[in-house]
Amino acid sequence: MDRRTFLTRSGGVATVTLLAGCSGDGGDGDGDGSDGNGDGDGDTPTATPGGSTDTDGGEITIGVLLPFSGDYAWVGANVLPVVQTIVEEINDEGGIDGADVRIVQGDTEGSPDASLSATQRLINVEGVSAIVGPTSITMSAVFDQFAENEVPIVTPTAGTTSLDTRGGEWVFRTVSSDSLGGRAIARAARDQQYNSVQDYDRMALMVGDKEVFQSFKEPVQTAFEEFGGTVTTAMDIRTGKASYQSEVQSMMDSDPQITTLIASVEDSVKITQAGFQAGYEGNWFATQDQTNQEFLAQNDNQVTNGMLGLTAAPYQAAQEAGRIEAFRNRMQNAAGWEESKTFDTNTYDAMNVLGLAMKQAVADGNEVTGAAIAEAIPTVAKPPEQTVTSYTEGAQAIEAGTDVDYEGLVGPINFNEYGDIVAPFSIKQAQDGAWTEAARLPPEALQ
Amino acid sequence: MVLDSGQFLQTVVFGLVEGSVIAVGSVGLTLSYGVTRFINFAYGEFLTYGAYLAVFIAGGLLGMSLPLPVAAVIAIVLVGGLGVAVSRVFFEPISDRGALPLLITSIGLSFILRNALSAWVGVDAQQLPVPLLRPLEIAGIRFTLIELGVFLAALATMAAIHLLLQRTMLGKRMRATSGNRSLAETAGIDTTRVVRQTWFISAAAGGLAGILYAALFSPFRPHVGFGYLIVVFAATLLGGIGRPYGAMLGAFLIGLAMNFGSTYLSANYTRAYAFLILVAVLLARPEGIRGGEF
Amino acid sequence: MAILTGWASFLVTVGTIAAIYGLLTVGLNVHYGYTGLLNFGHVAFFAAGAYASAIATMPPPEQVTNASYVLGLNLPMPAGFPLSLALATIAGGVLAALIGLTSVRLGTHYLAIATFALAGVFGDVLVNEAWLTNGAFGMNSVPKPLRATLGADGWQLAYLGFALVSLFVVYLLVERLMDAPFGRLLKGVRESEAAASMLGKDTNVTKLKSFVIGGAIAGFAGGVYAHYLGSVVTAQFVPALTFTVWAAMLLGGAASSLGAIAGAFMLVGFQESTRFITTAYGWIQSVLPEALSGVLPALFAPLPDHPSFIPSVRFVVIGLLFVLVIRYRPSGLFGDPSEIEAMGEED
Repeated sequence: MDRRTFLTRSGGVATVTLLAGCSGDGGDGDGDGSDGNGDGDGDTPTATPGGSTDTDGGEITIGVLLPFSGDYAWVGANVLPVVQTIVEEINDEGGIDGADVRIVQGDTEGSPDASLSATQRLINVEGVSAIVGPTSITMSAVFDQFAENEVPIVTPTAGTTSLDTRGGEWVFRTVSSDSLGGRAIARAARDQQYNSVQDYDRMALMVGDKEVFQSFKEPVQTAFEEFGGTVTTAMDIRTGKASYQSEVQSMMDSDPQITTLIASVEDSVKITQAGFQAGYEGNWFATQDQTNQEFLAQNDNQVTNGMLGLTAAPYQAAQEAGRIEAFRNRMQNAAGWEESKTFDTNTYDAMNVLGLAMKQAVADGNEVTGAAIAEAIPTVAKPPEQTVTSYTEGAQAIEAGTDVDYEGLVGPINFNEYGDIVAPFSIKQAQDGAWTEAARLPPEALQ
Repeated sequence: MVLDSGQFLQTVVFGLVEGSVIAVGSVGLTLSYGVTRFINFAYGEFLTYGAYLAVFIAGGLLGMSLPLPVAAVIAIVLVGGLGVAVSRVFFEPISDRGALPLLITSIGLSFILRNALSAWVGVDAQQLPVPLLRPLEIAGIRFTLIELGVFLAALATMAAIHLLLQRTMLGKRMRATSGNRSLAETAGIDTTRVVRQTWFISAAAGGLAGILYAALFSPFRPHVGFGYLIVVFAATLLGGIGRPYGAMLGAFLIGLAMNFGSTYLSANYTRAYAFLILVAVLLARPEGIRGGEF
Repeated sequence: MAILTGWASFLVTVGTIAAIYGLLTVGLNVHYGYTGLLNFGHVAFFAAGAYASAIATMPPPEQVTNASYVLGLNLPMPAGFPLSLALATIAGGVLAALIGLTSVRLGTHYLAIATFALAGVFGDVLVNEAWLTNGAFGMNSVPKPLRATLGADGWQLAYLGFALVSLFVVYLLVERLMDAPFGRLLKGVRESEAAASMLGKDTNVTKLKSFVIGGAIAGFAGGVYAHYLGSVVTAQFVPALTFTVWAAMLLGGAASSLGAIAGAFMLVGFQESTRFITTAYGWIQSVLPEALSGVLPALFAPLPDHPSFIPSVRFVVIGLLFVLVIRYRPSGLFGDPSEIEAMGEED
């Protein structure tokens, strides 16, 4: 191929990719309310032209910043449909002050420089007013961006303990911190009433070497000892190995009664099966990542029967009032979900809070800017105002001039000064390929 | 670290089982090096494709679900065909350009194959439909029937390769071609054809290695073969590049080294033991290991 | 009020990342383009530099949450910035020397495999030795020099400027080097080691020097990266990065520093543009008249729907780049064909 042909072809490829980049979206309004230059993208049912975030006929953009590819693609896949469902509800109710809400995805790919440019794109090119996400994996790399650009975020997934005292101004979360989750595991293991099996005295820890797993390690260990137990060994294990026979052997050598396993689904399958084959007679305790159907389906019932798992419990009040059931049905209709998905209820609460905060910002007489939303987030979830449990209910109340207190599916959703919430936990036990609830752990039990 | 004889023997068993899987792979790699004279960085993808095809064919890709052994055989044949196809499309056209372009092309090919697979089926973990068995215990050593089966399958494959090389015309031609290609040409051997047939065998061996790996180490993802590539390289180079019997021996040694290192040193550095042995071997022969005849 | 809004801010970020990749590619080009060394472990030198800067400038562990690391030298900014970068450069060079001592005497294939394997070992060390690198949590408090003084936007612009200037300076240095006798020596070794050693040149020492230079440049890139992102985590330093830099170098043209830089910018541009595919799709959909609104979905329906599709295709394209460039245009877009012919004829 001669130079000319090659240059022409590569020039063609380059042009196409550049065009793909430049075509971006129709408007470039950003969260600061500066003047946007709408490109007038034609008449369509949903999108409206113009990008300024002023009232009447504008558009408000919410970013969903999560892994949509790679090992954690399932997180993005679980969260996005719930966000879409709520956004549809918001737009059906007339949007925010007449403006429709639009969703844009940013794929963090679980990698720092990818998540930095994804965050930049959402904030500066797409002009998002708020963000759902990110996960613990990329939080550190992009944390500063939110305060600097005045874009509030509500994350339904990031439990990392490194966020425990950093949020509250721009960063909020509708998922319990791993420090609470870790304590819950310790409490439940020590106390038969919370696990329905026995009081465990000797516990081993096997923790994967990624932040999302390591975040649990110290809380479990400290709390278990605090509650009077003995940690026989606390091992860091390399994720993604072919087999874990040596590690399992070391664990068994320390003679635990139960092993808390904090790792990915596939590594956990290998480890529990290795334990089975090595004759491990103790029990296993899993965290939210493995307490789901995928883990049981990939594993063998012989291995998993009797295993314990920690998940966020649905909020008692919500369950009794039938709201959990209603949410399940709704997601089944909207996305064809046959069972609950990790982080689905957390996302429901996160997006409702965001929607109500935007509504509240308008009601307070402000434009829908990031700063106004950030200020409104704690307000719309704080008692003792009128309790509301859905966006529609809350929106109508706000329009009528009442202050609201959103109560969610995960818990009462009262953000503390650091943007954290407390939520009850549920201890599940696996039996014949399904997880059933063994006990409930209210937040008070963790003191 | 108390040297417990039970644990020692158990580690030997794990090492030999894993070594047998590596052996199938490294024999395939070394056979292809013999006739093509470059190290194929895309070789790991044959392992990956073998494992994935076996899973999908057993799961009904060809219209109905098939028992695993049947699916495995079909998968191996398909991967062999894939090997011939990639050699004709990617490597034959530039075979006169020297080792460097071939090597770099093989890197590109590995990216293409691996990501075409993940583009098509996603990155979710897969498992071979192999039942979970409790191990048998003999003289204090535990092993499952699966591990035994894998070991025997690997030995059978090595025996078959041995017979191929020593007793068949193809084997003779392969040895001649790898020894001195131009001489083989003048002796009337259609070396192009021999090279293609070698690619088939090499890729098929890789596919089988992938299936054996998956039988032992499920669940797995699309980068499983690429991740194991260095281990296979280590075994191949340890035994002397281009020498099939050396590759088999090297594979067992590498398997033992990895498992001993995991048990007695640190389980967090398993692959590193293979890498370090590899580098040590390369250092011991600083002139670069010359490939020989079979 | 923000100086940089919209596209400008995004492009500044992308530009800075591209400049960092440019440094990496120039370094790799010294190895392969000029000396004919097949280095498949380049990411290790990048990581060494990044972690060196992190260790040099992170606050001591008592002041940081989730700290398992032991060493945080807390050099003050901005005075400590040049020192931090110097340490990063040295770290890259030292690691290159260590790896090079074992590997440069090896022939083509074996150098490739050895560098790949040793980079893998180094990666394992980074993850496992949390006392040094803070393991999984990463070093996230790397200071950004002059951040407070310049403000967010001013700093972004200033750092972009700094990155581009550094890239330019490194480019000049490499060009000077290649014009000097040393440069001719490198190329001589690339073309024919046998001839070079017959002329009395110690080819191993030459190759080692080249290795160290390229590694030092990559280490420097690591330092620039660390102070830009403020966060150094192991997830960044994966083998795929080495091959991305290779793709950039091959595309731009091996044996040409300018080509290397151009290749890096093109590749980063390509990667970033693929992030807009879903947005572009949505935009096209919204612009099309009602009647044609079924066209795009029908076109794309047979394609798999899972979220890893686009990132996978991105890498397929990178793989194709390797294959096509080597086969049809070995000198890349901006390289000099005569330089490339000199390579490749080895054992």
